[in-house]
Amino acid sequence: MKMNKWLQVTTMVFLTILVFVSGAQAADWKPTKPIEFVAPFAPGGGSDVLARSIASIIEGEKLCPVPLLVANKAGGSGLVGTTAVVQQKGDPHVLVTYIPGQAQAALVAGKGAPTYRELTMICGLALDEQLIVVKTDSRFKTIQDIIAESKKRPGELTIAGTGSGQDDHICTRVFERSAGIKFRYVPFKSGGECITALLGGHVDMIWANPPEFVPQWEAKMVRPVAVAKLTRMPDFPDVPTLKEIGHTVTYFFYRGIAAPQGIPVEAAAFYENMFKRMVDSSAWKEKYLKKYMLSPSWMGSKEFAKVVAQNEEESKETLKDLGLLK
Amino acid sequence: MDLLQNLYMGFSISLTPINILYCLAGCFLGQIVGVLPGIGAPTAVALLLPLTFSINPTSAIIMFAGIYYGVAYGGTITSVLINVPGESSTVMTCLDGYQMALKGRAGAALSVAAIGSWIAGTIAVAILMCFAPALANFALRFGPSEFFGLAFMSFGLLTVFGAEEPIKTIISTLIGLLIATIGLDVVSGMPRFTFGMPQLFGGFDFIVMICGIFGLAEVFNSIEEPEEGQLIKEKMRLRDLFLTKAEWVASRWAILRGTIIGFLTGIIPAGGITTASFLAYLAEKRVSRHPEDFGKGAIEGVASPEAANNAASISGFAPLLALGIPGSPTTAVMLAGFMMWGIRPGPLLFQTKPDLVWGLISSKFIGNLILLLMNIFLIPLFVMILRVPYTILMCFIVIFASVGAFTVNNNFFDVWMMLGFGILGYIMRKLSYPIVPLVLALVLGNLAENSIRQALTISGGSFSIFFTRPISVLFIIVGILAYLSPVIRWALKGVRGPKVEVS
Repeated sequence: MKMNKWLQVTTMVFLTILVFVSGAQAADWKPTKPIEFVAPFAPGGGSDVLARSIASIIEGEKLCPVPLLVANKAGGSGLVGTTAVVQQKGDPHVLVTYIPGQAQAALVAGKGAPTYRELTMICGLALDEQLIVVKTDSRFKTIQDIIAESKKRPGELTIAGTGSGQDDHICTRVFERSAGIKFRYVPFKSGGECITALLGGHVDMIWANPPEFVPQWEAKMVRPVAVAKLTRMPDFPDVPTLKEIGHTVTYFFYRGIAAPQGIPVEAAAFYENMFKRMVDSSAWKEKYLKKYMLSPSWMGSKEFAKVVAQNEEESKETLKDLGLLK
Repeated sequence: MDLLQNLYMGFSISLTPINILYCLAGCFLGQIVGVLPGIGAPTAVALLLPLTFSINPTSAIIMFAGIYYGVAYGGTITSVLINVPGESSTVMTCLDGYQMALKGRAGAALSVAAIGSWIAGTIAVAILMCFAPALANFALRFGPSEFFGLAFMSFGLLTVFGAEEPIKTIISTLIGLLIATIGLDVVSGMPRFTFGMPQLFGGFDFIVMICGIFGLAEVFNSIEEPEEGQLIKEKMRLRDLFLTKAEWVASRWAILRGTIIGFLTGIIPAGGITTASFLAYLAEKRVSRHPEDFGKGAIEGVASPEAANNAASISGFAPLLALGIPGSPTTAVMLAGFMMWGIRPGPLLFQTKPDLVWGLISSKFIGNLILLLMNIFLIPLFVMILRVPYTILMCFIVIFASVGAFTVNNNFFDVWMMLGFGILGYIMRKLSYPIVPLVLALVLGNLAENSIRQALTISGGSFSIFFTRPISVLFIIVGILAYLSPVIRWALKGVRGPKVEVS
């Protein structure tokens, strides 16, 4: 009897210690080996630049005990790299950059394609901007000129972008519907190919992110005529938003981070905290946001997951309208 | 005399000891990267980018340029020695270079590649220096309809015109085109022939395919011939390692032709180094007096594509420097690098950063010279590999090709795919199907398909876009003549035939 009680007490004490120890361990989760940081697009593109900037800022600010090793796994509109991450289920030492295009490409590709549901969303970091850009000597002075011309000649003006079913294709469709016009959307493989086609006069206008056209804009070879955003961009105060002229074409081009499904809650919390500290650093503002003209937009894990889901739901309708989704 | 002044300023920057050191480092790294099939110049540059934030951007860009053209030199080595192209741009070198190695002329193949690359590189830098802005503006005239014309013409010249076995050539081309359609379609975003496997969404990487079709297929083939021993049995003398006079005479014009073709292809935005080497090889075979020797160890078949890939790797800088647009994956990474260093490359670069531009241009003269010397002196060492017994060398090739396929996307799936392509290459060789049309279709298939669809979208479905633009109409006409060449030849024979019989 005495013996039994003693056993009970010891077991209780032991278990209590165990709970504390494991609890302490869990709250203290830290990566123990280098993190594989997948950029599911080719070197030189927006996701690659983001991944490499993050790796260098986190190292410079000493925010992580282990290095982040950027690995480009390009192809299939980002789906190849995303698939590789999805398949490493439960591995807390893998991260991937995430943009709306990955969610939309998965919708269009259908069966077998990795959706956001198979990932743990860590956080949203920034918003990229989409602008309509024309050549400097273009006969279109303003976006109104373009609308007027395409009302006269419906379906004849060409606009280039980076791939069907992707952000700029969706923007085009939303704009067309709102303005009651029709463009010829010409898909290219990269932003570099788009600006090349514009400079060569092969298309009338293109969709572009600021880093893709700013060098040519500074040399007065191209000029932006509109931005798909609620407010004007501080870098381009003279460029009107499409909303100003009565067309609610805004696009929420988030740039965020995801991890495989099934990683420990503590690991997800560790990364969320790490990235929060990163976006608060001045290095992030100087070396990333300012340099590549992105807007700051921090979203925590829960909020980011909600935004990604909402964005996917909204793009479904436009994709159906474009005949890319049944 | 602005040019000489600028050049003087350039050399005063690139000849400082520290910049020579960076140039040397870049060339050396490029050489190594070139030898390894899975790692290409874009990956190498991307990996090194973070290390360059603390150094002077001019030094960094000199180093990266060294990597970029060093790769073209390095890829040759494995192409010649073990039939595994170290880079996609050295695929064509396999065809005759490896055959030369089997005949004990590996040293000559490597020398002509190094010398040809050097000559092409130096000429290309000189032209780039004088005409970069004009060339870049010319390149802009290439839109989707011109790209399609170029691909259409290349297929015609290669597949039908002068083919020994037209049916087999066409089948081989079609297999290549079919493989090229696998993956997500850029125009519609839909997956094609992926059988629900997400790994196939990206299609097959070119390196994965050629490591299999060339390297592995070679190994499979040699398993059947259990010949003990080495590729080169006799003891090599030093003079076996270099060019003979006859070989030099045969290759000097090939080098020049390769330079011109390579340079022009390189400045076209979607052209690229690989396409340049293909076109140069095809052109060389067409102008040659002994086209039947191609594929059996013709030295022109090494000289021309090697000159072309180096010329293209240099002319590819014209759009980057003059317009700030990336003409190739590597220049796209460098563009990103410029941004990270806080420089906006673009049309204004010549004015705002003349030290960087001219330092870079002049460093290319130095870098090419470094690579020439490095390669010539190392040839005896490389050729030693061929003395390794083939049974051992075979294992080495398999390891080498597998590592190459894996590192392309850090994905083991690609290694299995490479095995599949090895079997395909083996079967094709057994049934004597030509491999070049297949590989050309893999290189140009996507370009041809995407550009015709882009062109037709722009024109609203009208084919007139191909016939109303001077450059594209020229390509299309040459292409049509090539496709009709069997008919033309047959018709000519019909007219002349009886007369010959009479006489």
